[in-house]
Amino acid sequence: MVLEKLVEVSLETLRACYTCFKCIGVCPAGLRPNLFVKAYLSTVFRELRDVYEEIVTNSSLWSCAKCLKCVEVCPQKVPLNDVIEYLQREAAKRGLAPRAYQDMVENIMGTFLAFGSQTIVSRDGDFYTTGEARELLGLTPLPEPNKIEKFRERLKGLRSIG
Amino acid sequence: MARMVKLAVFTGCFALSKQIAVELSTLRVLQHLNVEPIVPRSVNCCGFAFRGLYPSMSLYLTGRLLASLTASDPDGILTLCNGCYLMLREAVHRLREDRRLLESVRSYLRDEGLELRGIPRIVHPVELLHDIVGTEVLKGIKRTGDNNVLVATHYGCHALRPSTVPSFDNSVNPSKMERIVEALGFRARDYPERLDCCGAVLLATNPSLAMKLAYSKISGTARWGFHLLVTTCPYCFEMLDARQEAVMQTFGDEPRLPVMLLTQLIGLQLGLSEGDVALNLNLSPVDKVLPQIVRR
Repeated sequence: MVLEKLVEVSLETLRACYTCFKCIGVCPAGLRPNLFVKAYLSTVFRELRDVYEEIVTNSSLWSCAKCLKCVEVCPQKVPLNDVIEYLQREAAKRGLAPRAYQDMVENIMGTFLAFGSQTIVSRDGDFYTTGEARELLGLTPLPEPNKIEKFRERLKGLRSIG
Repeated sequence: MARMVKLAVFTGCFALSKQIAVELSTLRVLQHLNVEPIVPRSVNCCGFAFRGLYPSMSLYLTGRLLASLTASDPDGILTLCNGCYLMLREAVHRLREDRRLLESVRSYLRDEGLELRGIPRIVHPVELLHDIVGTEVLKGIKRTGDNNVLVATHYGCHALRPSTVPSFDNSVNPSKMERIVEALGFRARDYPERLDCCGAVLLATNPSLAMKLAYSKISGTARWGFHLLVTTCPYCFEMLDARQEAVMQTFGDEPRLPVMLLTQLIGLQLGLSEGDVALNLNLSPVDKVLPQIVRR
């Protein structure tokens, strides 16, 4: 299936990084996106392997807020979001992905949605479940997980591809 | 007036389950703006959160959504959440550029009995109000307020970035939300934190950093003297409104920036009641600004 290989960053694009550090300047999480580029390049340039190891095992990879400011500011148009996502997949292969994402996928397999019922609080201090609040406001109930088997099966297959 | 525009509304998981005022105020306001919303029941998550970890799964989820949402042959898909908006506009952009990918997604969906006929237009709420409804129509709606109210706009990261994927406004200097605010009779002004991140994406992986980003956004905005901040995204709204008290307390500060959904503000201008737009679910200090917006 062609869906397998989607995100590829060309090495030519990555080598365009001349470490101007603009990405560091705009990162609200205080990360150093240029190091992510180096880590990615290590797939070809072995001498960068230690940078790769440090990044993939370091939790900073999961502190990216996906604000995309680094992508916007890069004078060389390096797609830093694709680079970070690639490294996150590498970390996941070592079991280092945060549990929260697994939980979302499990929820989707059961209900089509990433979240189940929540507690909704009003300014007056009243508490409602999602279902109660939606009904009270005349909104439709959450979608029923009817005929979800095929969908669930496909998600399981796609999850194993990574 | 032009014929009624028919839009399939995709609310998204978080607005469906938590920030329900997003869907409510949008549907209420559209009744008055010559837009026919269709809200399909058969939807699924867009796959935004784990797009990095499972890119194929995320593309399948967005492809499946495109097929379900276009089943009623609408003029476009109105996407209420910025995360979903990014996923859908990116998928549409990719499928337009890559014929082979489109065919493979199509045949994959066909096995499930779903048909992705055409590639739909993906519409952001700001785009709907500015480009489809139009600021002239907004100027004409009943004004009940005080035009000295200074409003901060918050677009949210995924409404505009990355600029490599087409969006509805300029990614470094957008202006459509400001034009909408001005059409409603309020004042808008640029501010240094305007395009800053709310931090919501980090709630799953680094909650304390998420709070820090939200604090920087809220306290930074508040110091410029704004009476109100408006946004359309349910995640940004969660961070800036619902969690404002917790965010401010974490840093020894207190809540002081009233936050509303843009569609709540428009609803109030249309003369809808506070209940009609679920204003009782806003947890930021909106009482401070309400008397200036609604003349009682």
